[in-house]
Amino acid sequence: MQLLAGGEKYGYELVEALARQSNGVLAMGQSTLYPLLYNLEAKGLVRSRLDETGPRPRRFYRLTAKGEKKLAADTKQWQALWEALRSLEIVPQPGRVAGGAR
Amino acid sequence: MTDTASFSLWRRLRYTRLRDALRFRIDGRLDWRHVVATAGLPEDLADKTRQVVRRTRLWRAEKVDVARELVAHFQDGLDAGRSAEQLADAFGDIRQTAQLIRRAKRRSRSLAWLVCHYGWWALFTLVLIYAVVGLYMLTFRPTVATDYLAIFNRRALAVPEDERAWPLYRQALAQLTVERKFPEWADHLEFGPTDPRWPAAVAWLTEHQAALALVREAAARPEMGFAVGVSPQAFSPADQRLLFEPNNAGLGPQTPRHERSEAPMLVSAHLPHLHPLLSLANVLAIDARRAALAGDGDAALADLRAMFGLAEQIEQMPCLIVTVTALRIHKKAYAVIADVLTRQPELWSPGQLRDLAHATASRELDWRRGIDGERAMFYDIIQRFYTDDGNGDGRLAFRGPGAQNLLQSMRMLIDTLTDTPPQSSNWTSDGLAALVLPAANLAVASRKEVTDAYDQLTDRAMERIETPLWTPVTTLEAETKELERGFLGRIRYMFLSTLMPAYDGLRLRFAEAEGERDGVLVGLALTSYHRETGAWPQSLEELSPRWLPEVPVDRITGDPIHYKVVDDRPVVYSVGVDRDDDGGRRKANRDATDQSVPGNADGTVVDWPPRAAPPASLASPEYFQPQPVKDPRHDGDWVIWSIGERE
Repeated sequence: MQLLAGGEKYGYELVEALARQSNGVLAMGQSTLYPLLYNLEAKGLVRSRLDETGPRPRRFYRLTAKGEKKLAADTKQWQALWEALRSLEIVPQPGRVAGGAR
Repeated sequence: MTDTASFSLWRRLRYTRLRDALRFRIDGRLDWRHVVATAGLPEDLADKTRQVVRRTRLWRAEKVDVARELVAHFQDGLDAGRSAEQLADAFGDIRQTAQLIRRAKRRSRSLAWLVCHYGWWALFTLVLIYAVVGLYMLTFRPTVATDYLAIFNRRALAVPEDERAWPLYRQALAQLTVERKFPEWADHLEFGPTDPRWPAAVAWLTEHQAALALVREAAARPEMGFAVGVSPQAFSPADQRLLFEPNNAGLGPQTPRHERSEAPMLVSAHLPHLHPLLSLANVLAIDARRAALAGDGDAALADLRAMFGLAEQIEQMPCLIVTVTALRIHKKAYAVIADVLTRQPELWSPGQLRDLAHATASRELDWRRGIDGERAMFYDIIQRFYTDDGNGDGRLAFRGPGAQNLLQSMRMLIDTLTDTPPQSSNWTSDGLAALVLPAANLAVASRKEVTDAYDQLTDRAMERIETPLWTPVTTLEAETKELERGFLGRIRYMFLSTLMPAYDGLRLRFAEAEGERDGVLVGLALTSYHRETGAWPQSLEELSPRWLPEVPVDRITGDPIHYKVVDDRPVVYSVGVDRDDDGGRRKANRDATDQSVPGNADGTVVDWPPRAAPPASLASPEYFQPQPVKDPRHDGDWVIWSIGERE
């Protein structure tokens, strides 16, 4: 959902963006993306449209208002969790990486 | 047109939406294979796409969407410089992908579809559970742990043969009847000296005095000693000849008890002795009147004593039918006493009058025994319809009495209770019984629940019978209806509605009988008083305690019973359901049961023999109300004793 925060994207674009933005850490079986998108769509968090104006028909996905709210809430929750983990030194403090100082 | 072209057209038609086809737009837009085939993907990727889409098992339009999306995915990948192998490797597991896509897509379907889909699944699951439970319930069998018929007969069978009254009655009945029938007049309730058949009856009675002596001897024995059975075969050959028509299909050699497969059902028990004994009581009543007219007070008294003895012996069997039969014999005896005292007040000596009063006072019906018998009948039926978990609970069994299925058992029970000959029915097959069994067990109260409800209602009914008529009570019928409220309530307590006796009517019957007995006791005391003093007392209190231990109360209001002397004739009466003292005037508009009473057509007090208010008016709902009833149909009094000229 975070990937869609910047605007609507089609399937392969999302796969590429995910691999690129996570340095390949979150690279997944590309086919897994589509069930995820369909689920989000079923829950009303994203909406899709078929664009047939390009070189080939593509289905573009974008966040709905409900999806934006959900993303904001989840982000906030993740941040809180992250802060908690960091205060417990389970994850490294800012400016440090695991295994020693930068 | 070539074959290929026709195939293509056919294929396009197959993959065209119906609404488009109806408009002749054969576009084949639902053909997802066509989408993949025309995408120009390398074969490896095209094959992956086909496999995923095929395995989703989605609707055709959904498959087209998925196919287009995957085709675009691979094409975008190729355009981005990925090789077909790289894309194929990065794609992931085909089966898992198809499964996830299928789940996700189905979640997007319409609410109506989701409701139908999950509704069907829920229904299927319920049917499956029902079937499994039904199969399990097929193993449900009742345990007939108690032989209630044996308990029913225990008292009769415990009496040594030579001490039983029944063998003497049987001997007498054999002499008094021809092909199990008394003379026609013997069953005529109002038969009396004015009847043209009276001389013939007197001759017949005189001729059969030896048999009647046997009856009196039998009635003097303490125990009846008659055991009942569920079929004519259960009776001795002598009883079979006496009590059953020769063409009765059930006649035959007596079946030894140990050869019976299961304890016989109490509700099916025959009571073939009741009617002959009731006729015998009527013959005794007629003979008492004959003896009185002949001036033989001893014989008349002996006949009355025999009637009381016979009623007591009959009542030893715990069953309400026999209780009510005994009640009828009592009523008949009261009528004879009143008749004799009217016609021949000097017939009996003061000592005989006193003895008669004591005999009348001591004959109190033990209706509790009858109700205990009804309870045993209920328990017996329940133990044959329900399983037994050992703690008094259980569920409806698939096989009931006689290894019949539930439906057949219910049918048999209803036929038995309504005295209907058994009939075959398609609605009682094993298959149908198996089908309805789980539902029946869900709807019908459990063994414990129905037994508790029955016991509670019966206990309340017994309390109610003991409650005087002037105390308002809710009826058993109302309580049962409350329990059986609605269709489901009726199903839930179907055994109650089928098997619960009409105790409300009994309360009134017993009150009526007690009122009549009060009248006879007061009448005997008045006769003794008049014999000694030559006058009637000013009030009934003068009779007590010498001639009457205590003055009875009005059975309807609870006030002292009313008494007056009209034209030198005593009248003892209750104010009746209208609770209005009409000076001992009977109701003018009597019920049909009163029409046979001679001499009461003008509504005066000369009616004879003394009568309780007819059952129909006793059964009126006003009895349950403490307020007076203004209905003109109830205007008048309930005269329980009067003396006057007749005929």
